[in-house]
This record gives sequence, structure tokens and C-alpha cells, in this order.
Amino acid sequence: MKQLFLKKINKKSLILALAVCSITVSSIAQESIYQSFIPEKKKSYINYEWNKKPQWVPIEEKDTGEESVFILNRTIAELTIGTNNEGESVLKSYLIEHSVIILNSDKSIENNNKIYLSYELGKDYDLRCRVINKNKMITMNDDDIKETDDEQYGKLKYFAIRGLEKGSILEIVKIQSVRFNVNGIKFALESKQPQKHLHTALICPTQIEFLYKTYNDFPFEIVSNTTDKNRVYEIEKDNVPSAKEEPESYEKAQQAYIIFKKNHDNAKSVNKFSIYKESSENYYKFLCGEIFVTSKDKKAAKKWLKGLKLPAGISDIEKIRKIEHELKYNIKFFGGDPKYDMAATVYTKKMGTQLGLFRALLTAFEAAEIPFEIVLTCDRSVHNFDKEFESSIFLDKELIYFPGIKNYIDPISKYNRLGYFDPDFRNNFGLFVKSAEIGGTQAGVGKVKWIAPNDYSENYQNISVDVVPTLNNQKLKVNFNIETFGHNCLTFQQFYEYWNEEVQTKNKEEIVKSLYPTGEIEDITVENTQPQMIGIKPLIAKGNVIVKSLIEKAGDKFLVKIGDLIGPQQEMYAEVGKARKYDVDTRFPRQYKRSITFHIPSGYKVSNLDSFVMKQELKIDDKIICAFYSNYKLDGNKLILEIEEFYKECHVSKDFISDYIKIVNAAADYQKLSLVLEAN
Amino acid sequence: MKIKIAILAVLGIVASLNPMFAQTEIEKYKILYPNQPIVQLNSKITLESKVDKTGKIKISETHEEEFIYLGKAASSNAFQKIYYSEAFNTISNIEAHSQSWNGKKYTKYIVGNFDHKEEISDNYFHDDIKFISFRFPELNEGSKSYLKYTIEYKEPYLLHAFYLANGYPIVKTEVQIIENKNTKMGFLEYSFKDERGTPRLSNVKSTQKTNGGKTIYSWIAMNPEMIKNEEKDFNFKYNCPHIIPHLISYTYKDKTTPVLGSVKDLHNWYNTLLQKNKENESLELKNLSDSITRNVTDTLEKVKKIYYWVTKNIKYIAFEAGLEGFVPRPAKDVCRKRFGDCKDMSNLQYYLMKAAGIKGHVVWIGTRDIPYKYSDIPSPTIDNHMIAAYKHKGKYIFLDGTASFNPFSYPSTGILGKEGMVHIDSNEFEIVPVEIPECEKSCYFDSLNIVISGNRLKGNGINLRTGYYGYMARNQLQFLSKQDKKDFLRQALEKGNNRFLLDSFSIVHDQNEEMPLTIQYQMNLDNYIKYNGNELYVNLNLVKPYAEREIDSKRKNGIMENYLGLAKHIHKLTIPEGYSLNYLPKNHTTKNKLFELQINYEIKDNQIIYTSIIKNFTLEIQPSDFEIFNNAINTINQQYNETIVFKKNK
Repeated sequence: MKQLFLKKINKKSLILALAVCSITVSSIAQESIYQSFIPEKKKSYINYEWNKKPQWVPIEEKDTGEESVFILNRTIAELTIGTNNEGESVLKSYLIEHSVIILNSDKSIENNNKIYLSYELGKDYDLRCRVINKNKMITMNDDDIKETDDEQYGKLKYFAIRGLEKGSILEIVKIQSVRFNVNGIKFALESKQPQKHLHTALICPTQIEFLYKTYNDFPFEIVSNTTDKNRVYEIEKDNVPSAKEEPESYEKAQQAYIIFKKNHDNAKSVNKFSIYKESSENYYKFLCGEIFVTSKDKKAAKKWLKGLKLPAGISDIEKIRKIEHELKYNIKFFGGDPKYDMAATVYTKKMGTQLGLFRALLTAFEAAEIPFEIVLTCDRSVHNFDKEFESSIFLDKELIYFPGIKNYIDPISKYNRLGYFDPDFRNNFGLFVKSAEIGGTQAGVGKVKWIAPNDYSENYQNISVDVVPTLNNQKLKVNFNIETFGHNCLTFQQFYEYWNEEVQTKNKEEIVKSLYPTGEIEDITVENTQPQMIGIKPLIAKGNVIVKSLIEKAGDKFLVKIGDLIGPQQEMYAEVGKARKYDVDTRFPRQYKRSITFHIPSGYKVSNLDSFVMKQELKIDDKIICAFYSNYKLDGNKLILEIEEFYKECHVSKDFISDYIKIVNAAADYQKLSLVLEAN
Repeated sequence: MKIKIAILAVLGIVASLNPMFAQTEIEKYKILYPNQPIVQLNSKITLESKVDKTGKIKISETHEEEFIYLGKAASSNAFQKIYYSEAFNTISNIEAHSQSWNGKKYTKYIVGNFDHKEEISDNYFHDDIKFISFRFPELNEGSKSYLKYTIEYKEPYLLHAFYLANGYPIVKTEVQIIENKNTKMGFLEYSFKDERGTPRLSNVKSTQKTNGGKTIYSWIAMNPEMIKNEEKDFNFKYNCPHIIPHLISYTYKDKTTPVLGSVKDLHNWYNTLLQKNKENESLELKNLSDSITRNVTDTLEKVKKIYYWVTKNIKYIAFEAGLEGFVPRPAKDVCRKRFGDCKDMSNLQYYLMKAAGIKGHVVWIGTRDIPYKYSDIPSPTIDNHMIAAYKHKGKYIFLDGTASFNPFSYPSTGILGKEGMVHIDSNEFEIVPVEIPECEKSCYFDSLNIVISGNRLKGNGINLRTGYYGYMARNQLQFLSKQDKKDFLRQALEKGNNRFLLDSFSIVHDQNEEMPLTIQYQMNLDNYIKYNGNELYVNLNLVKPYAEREIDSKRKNGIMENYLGLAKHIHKLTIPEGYSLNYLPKNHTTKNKLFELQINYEIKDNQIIYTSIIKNFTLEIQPSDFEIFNNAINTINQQYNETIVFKKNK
């Protein structure tokens, strides 16, 4: 049986083929102008065919503002009993995708006129593609296909689609054999384009039953049907509007989707099957079990640890940092042989795979007697971990948790360090797996717990500037001290030593240029640039910069645009008063403090100080979640402006959007404030 | 070994191949090249042309290079690739090894595995670029790598250029071009001097020696200045000293075969490539040409219709595999497929014109990334683009099929000031300069009527863009959804600061290049008006296009502008009720050879009319112009900061 594994890539950014499926049923799509494109539903889609004579239709008047419109978006996941080469019965699974899309803009043509498919060696796929124009239909054939063996994406077939013009209808059918994980099949149902007819289905043999759960606002009816041959779960709906986009949101996680998982239980089951329990045991075995981590690895870990010469009495957190840094800093990722998956190779050769690094870390922590738990979670920008409806889909990212210090590391990224890794894997639940003795052997036992984000005080930027104006040439001499901590300077501390002098200088200056784009830097020094400083010390940039263009002349007075010294600010002015669909999601909690000391020129006074006092807060359950405060004080000829802004949460319910926007915009408003200087 | 000793002699290091010496050597390079993670110790390229026994021309190029890694991240250089065109080159005789430094001594590791691979190009949909990848083992701080390989040219017209500098320090770089008695080579030395005529290489020696029938042209440069990439700068070809070789001719049994001895030879070769494409015409193409030019009698109007049809309907997808990169695909296929690259679109235009009874031309041309002229060197390295042309009243109109929304009769921005080789027929061609349209041909006009309401400015505006301004905006707008258009225009039309909001807008002529792109809009700008006692301040420099343009004093490279243009802003402010004008800034004009800016204030009825006009006169701001430019910007910024004061009536 031919098998296939297809991916669609857009240039170098690989986009997985639409992992959208749906399930439906009930009524067939109502008779519509698009009917000629919608093949009837079938019991099986493995030998699916498109309609022979589709009739071109123009885009509907109401859709003329859309870039493109799905006439049909059909995704079928089909599991069936087949036979292997030995004649044995095996479960086979297929993904069938049929899309018919009206291209109504140059952008949609550019986005759709090239198709890339990756496929595994020796496996096959079925791909059909045609373009239906007003006066003719063009079907792609084998002559259109080119092939390459791309270093990054593997074997690729790709072709340019002929005959596309504005108003073309592009029809693609892909049938591919894939390996579904029956413990987690997700179908996203919303799209940037309106969908005239959405059809998603999961089909399986009758002896298999799936459980499912829908997420977010889910305006779809799920219909399940069982015959003597198979079981069908379907969603079918006409006229699904396009999904909305909003700033500061993780839209995908808040749009409608459904997750299926196989029901492993039956009426006779005594103990309910638990995906999380099974996964806990399996992950533990795979990462720490005796088969994969042998006594040789453990011995090598001890020897390596001894070689680190850790001072006696150092704390666990210092040990963790040292072990993580030494292993990650020195490893060269290299594979191609199972030995590179082994911890011992990583210690001795300083080479290995990501798995090898993971095992080496765990084995070293064990040797150092530091308690840890393996954490399995998922990217909250795509979906949130579900602790009730257990599914393997929520277990696609591994972390290591240290209960003693309540912190995490990312075990496979060479450049991340304790507490600082992709923050979308925090502020979410996760499955925490720890070692326990069961029946005389060590095994993994899991429990779902909350993975807290970094505290807002762990991601900050504090700017302190001392400002001396010279009014006659309209310049400000600014002495700056910029301290940045955590995620805000992660890239800098991760890579500074890998950059050459030119890039180092450019990036150093960019710290200042990002605040004062027209500033002329007189001198700048940076401290704490090494990866060992991540999460320990702030990146500090100090120096002097001449900033022009911030002093306006208004007759005999001067307006000093002092607010600009806090640098460009994010704003949500255009969002004021708009209805909000999604909650606010940002990457991590954070805090900003600014202190501006302005030397008032002799003979002048400031006449509008009250405008520098601002206060905006968002309180939820009497707790201040985010805020913007600013104030001032006068000390002789020194005017000291103080600003504090923080966001303690990275998820805020849309119910509080109005107050949230006020805080974001308060900072942007402050940036536009000017001091009025007038002669005494 | 000789090379190594030569380097050491240059550096003044006492040669002694013991560990202490090695340590000293590393430290020495760290002192000579502080904070540089990579230093190329040696680069040698030798190109040799000869004729084999069967009369075939053989050109091979040997590369030899040695690096030392001085940074902690030395291992990040371990994976290396040698790129080549499968159709035009073969790579052979690869030797590579690393010398790993463990802090005490060097250990040599020979590279054994060389994988032949390919990858999807960022620039072309389909090409024949392959690479050989390998890994230098055990590269640590202080380690070295050595690589040698040979490129054989299958196509003598397509020789590579040799660059004498790079983005990292080079201790010594050497190029040799060897001609044998039956081959004749030419070469161009380029960018050896900057625009002021100052040599870029302080230590370069070029020689010519003839020995045993071989003539060797040689260049040796020590410590060439590193090449820096900067925003909006010219292509590195403008700044990096390099040598472009070309084969003039070769002789076998008294018969001399010309290759690239003259521009005529270059045209001959291009012509042979053009002739490879034979199946251009079809009934479908004829029908298409007829339908495009239906009801049009004027020839120029027909050309225009064809040009716009191609730019709008043929999507750019590039094929660059072997000669596919030079031979246009049949016009009839391109019109059916609705996609193609520059040469396909130029050829299609030619045949659509032909089908309409119009004599058009295909044109080979280099974009502004390429600095050379045909008089510099007869080589295809001059050209990287194809367009079409039509001669009207003795002047060529250049038609770039890839420039969607570029107005007819405007050359595309990428070729302004360049030379094109216009194909007349198999034997004839013309070298034609591409004119740069004057700034008045591309206008940006924005007029805004505004009133003060509390601390807010409110108003109605109209924004018109012609020429290249219209082209750029239409190109951006065509890819935006309705909401994205609003976001885009909010930024594009911003006045004052980012509190600027568009209450509504309408766009007219976004698909019609023959008319000014017109945007009508209603805006408001909250919190812009500043009150202080009985005074009110408003700065009518709501747009400051030159405010942030001061050129960094450390900048080394010139700045390349896209086109010449004229921008005019008119802001008509109604004097707020209950207030009188207390201070009005003076009018101002700054003019130099690069640009002109005028700011005028006028009181008319109960309005203050602010007018700003900017004209730019050059596409290239050279380093020698930076001082003039920055002085002007400083003056302008002072004018931008002039604020109008109104006083409350008593």
C-alpha cells in the first residue's frame, strides 16, 4: 500500500499541511451555486474523487472585499483496517483534504501559485490540482512537477500552478497515508477566509470508538453515525464567517477546535485508561529508565560531575545552573548514530542529539542528587493544556522542573537557561512526572499541575537618564543607564559572544537607538553579556547620547518633548471602543521603570508639571494586575520624573479589555508629553 | 608551508613550530584583529584557461583558503558548503582538514565525508544550484581550517568574479589568471578606488609574467579593509575591490574562436540563447493580443495596454536552472500558464506586440545592484534582468513586465540610470542608457484642512500620488485586506504622532496607473494641542520626512535612493475661536545639490496655511556628500521644531 507524508511549505518556512479535520453530518449542504464543486459525502474517502464538471462561479457581491473564499474546505481523517505485506490486519490511517478556493486578490494568487510537498522516500501520495477559470479548466499533470532533495526539508516535490488569475477557482485534493496519534487528533475549524462549505469528519472502524471535546465558542453541530462497517463523526456547516484577528491575542487557541481521542475503555474496563498515566510511565522509561540510561551513563555522569569541581556547599540552584551551562555550552549537536542519543557520549565526546542532551541533563541532576520532575506540556498560543480531557496533543513539549527551587529548564535548547525559554510553554498546565518506587523499581508517576509564568519582576527594563538641555542648539545631552533583565535581553545574552565586533557594536548601539532613533551615541559600555548571566544579572548599558529634535521653539518658550525619553511605546489607540472577541495574551509578565532627571536651565521654570502625574490601574478581585503610574518631584533645578508600568499577568480576560487598553495607551500618552520651559 | 611562513614574516612572528609558538600565534592574531571571531589567513584563487587536444576550451579555477577561529563559538563554523551550478560547473579535488587547538597543541583532522545536496532557493522557484557540504571536525578557539577545491567551467561565458575583501579580516589574498598560448583572457579590475579616487587597497601588488607560453596575471593584497553592510547601501560590488575575468577567444589548429572579446560577442551569445526558443507564437497568443488591443488604434496605446496586461496578469515565478536561466520560455506557454520570470515576461511582451503588428524589442539589462557598464567589460555579469522596449519618436520606452503597477513610460526603479542592450535583430543591437525621470514626474501631494477641537486636531485630507509614489503605494495596497489597508494607511498618512487615527477613508484609482492614486480621508489627532495658561501651541510640521535622516558619522558606504520625487504637504489650520496668533515661525528654504526643502507659512482669511515642499535630486548620496546632507538635516530639524503660538483673546 502506498503511503505518504505531505507537507506544504511556503519558501523556507515550513507550514504543516492543514491539520484541520472535521466531522459532521446531518444534512448535506443545501443546494447552492457552489454545488458543482462539492462531491457527495461518502462512506470512505480513500478513493475520493473531485467532481468531473465543476462550474465556474464569480465571487459573490458580499465577498468582494475578501482576498479569497473557501467554496469547500473538506478534511477527513479516516482509519481503516488493512493488511500489511505479511497479510496481517493492521490499522491504516489517511488524511484526505479537498479545498476549493476562489482567489480574489493578487495576494491570494501569490500565496497559492506554488505548492511544495515533502514526502518520505519510497512512499507515495495522491495529489490533484486544477484551476477553473471562467472559460476553461486547467488540470496540473506530472510535467508540472519538479523535485529536489532539500537539506532542511528532505525530499520535495514542487510545482507552480498554471493559469491562475483574479477570480480563478483553485481546487486541490490531497490524499495521504499518515500516522495519526489516536490519542489526540485535532481539527481547527476556523479560517482567515470565509468558508461557504465546511466539512470535517473522522471515520473509523466500528470496533473503535472516539471520545471528543470541543473548545471555545463552537457553533458547530457534531453528528455521529455508526453502521455495521464504520463509525463517523462529522461537522458540516455552510457559510462559516472568517476568523477575526486582534492585536495582543493568541487567536488560534481561542478559536473553535475539536480534539478526538480513542476510547480505550469498554463496559468491562475496571481501571479507566489514562493517557497521562501511560505517558508518565513511558516518558520516564525513555528518559531515565535502565534500558536507555545504563550504569555506564550513570558512571560517566558522576565522573563528569566530579570534573566540574563544584565547590562544596554550593546551593542546588547554583549546581543546576552550572550543570545546565556546562552541558549546553559545550555540546555540538550531531546525530546519525544511536550512540549520540546516550548520555555518556554527551559527557565524553561533547557531542550528541537533543535527546542525548536531555538524558545527560537528567542523569547529571540525578548524580548531583537534585530532585527533578519531567514536565510535558503544550504551546499555549495554539491550545491550552486540558487537565480533564486527557490527550497526547497536550504533551508535545518537555521541560525539567526542580521542585526545590520551583523553576524550570528547557532540556533540548542549547541557548536557553534556567527559567528562560519560550514563555508560551508556561502559564499553562502540564503533566509533571516524577520518579517513584513501584514494586521495587523506579517508575514515572504523573500529576497535572500549573506551570506558573515568570514573575513580572523577572522580566524588566529600568531606564535611568540624566538630561542636560542646551536650548540654543536644541540638543539634550543624556547620560543613560539601561538595565534589562530576563526575556527582554535573552537574545543579547545568549548570542553576544558569538557575534563579531561589528555585530556586537551594532546590537549594543541598538539598545540606545531603539529608545532614541536619532540619538548620536557618544560612548556606550555593556555589562553582563555572557550566557551565564541569564536570569542572574541584568544586561546593563551605560553611556552618553546626544538627542536632537526634542526641543521645540514656541515664540519665547521652549517645549521639551521629555516623554520621548522613555522611547517608542506600544499603543492600542485604534482598539479603543472596539468589541473584543479574544482575551489578551502576551508572552510573559513584565515591568518597566523609568527615571528621568532633567536639569532645568537657569533662568527658566517649568509651567505644566501637573500633566506628568498619571495613574491607570487594572484591578481584578481587588488585586492590581497591570498599572501605569507616573509622578514628579522638584529638587532645586532638578526635575525628577518617575514612571512605573507593569503587567503581572500574561493572560487577561477580554472582560477587562477597556482598562487594559488604558494602561497600554497611558505609556504611549506619556511618551507624547512635553515640558513647557518659560523664562522666570 | 611557504604561505604560512610568508604570513608569519608579515606579522613579524619568530617562526618556531612549537606549542609556545602556536599559542603566541593565536594571541598575535587576537591582538591584530581584536574581537574578530574569524580571520582568513590565506585566500588564493587560480583561474586557468587552456585548449585540450580535441580543441575544447577548458577553464578551471582552484580555490585554496585557510582560516583561524579566534572566538569561543568556533564550532559554529564547522559546517561548510561549496555552492555551484550543476549545469555550468563541476567541483573536484576537494581537500579539507581542520587543525584543532586544545590549548597546548594542534591536531590535524582530515575531512572525509562530502555530501552532495541541494536546497530550495530563497530567490528562485526552481534552479540548479547544488552544494557540497562537509564538517570541519573539532573546531575550537584557536583552531584552523584548510580547504582546497577546483571548479571546472562547462560554460566559458559564465566565469565568476574574484573578490579581494570580505566581511571578515583577511591576512593575504591572491588571485591569478593564467592564459595559455592558445587562449586569450581579459579582466576588469573594479572598485579598486572609491568615488573620490582614493585606492581601497593600501597594500596590493599586481604583476604580469610570461613564461613558457603562459601568461600569468597576478594580484596579491595584504590586509584589505573589511567590507561593511549598511542599510540602504549600494551593492557590495560597488565597495569591494574585485576582478572579473572573461575569455576573449581561444585558438585551435589556427582557428580562433571568439568568445567575449567585445560587446558584439556578448550580443551574439545572447542571441544564440534567444534563438533556442522557437515556439512562441500561437493562435491563442494572437487572440490574446487582439483582445488586449481591441478598439485601440494608436500604436503607443496598444503597447501600453500590452504592458499593463502582462504586469497585472503574469505572476513572477523564477526558473534559473542552467540555460533555463537565460532562455525565455515560449511566449505562448507563458501566456497560458500565467506565470514567468523577467525574461519570460519580456519575451511575451515582444510577441504580443508582434501579434499586434508592432515592432518591439527584448532588452538585456543589469539592475542597480550591478555597477558595470558595457564599456567596462563584455560579460554577462553586467546583466541580471530582461525587459522589453518600444521605440517611440526616436526614444525607447522600457517595459519591465515584473514591475506590477509601474506606470507606463517610467522605467522600473531597479534599472534607473543603467544601460540596456536593446536587441534589434540577430546581428544588431543598441546600448541605450535608461533615463532617470525628474523629481516632478513623481509627486506626493497631501492637503489637509484642520480645526482645533479641545486638545485634538480634526480634519479632512486628500492624498495624491503619481509616478513612482503611486507605484510603490499600489504595490503595497494590493496585498492588503480591508482592515490591513486601514492599518497601513493609518501609518502611511500619519500626522503628528501615533495617536493619529483615520475616521474614514476611500481609495480611488488603486488599479489605474494612468491616474493619480487618490486617498481621501478624515482624521483626528488627540492630545496634540498643548495649552499653557492662556497660550495654545500647535506645531504644523505634522509630517517630518527628513527628521530622522541624519547619516551616522561612522557610516562608510553611500546611500542608494529608489527614485527622484517631489513631496508637497499643505496643512490649512483654522485659527481657533477666541484666540489670536501670537507667534508664527519664519519661512525657510534649504537647498543643496542633493535635495531642496521649503517650509512656508501664510495667513489667509482665518486660516494659517502651512506648505512644505521637498524635492530630491539624486539617486546616490556618496560618502563625500554626507557632510552637506547632515548640515542640511540639522537646519531642517530646527525648522521642524518651530511651533505656532496662539494667545487667548482678552
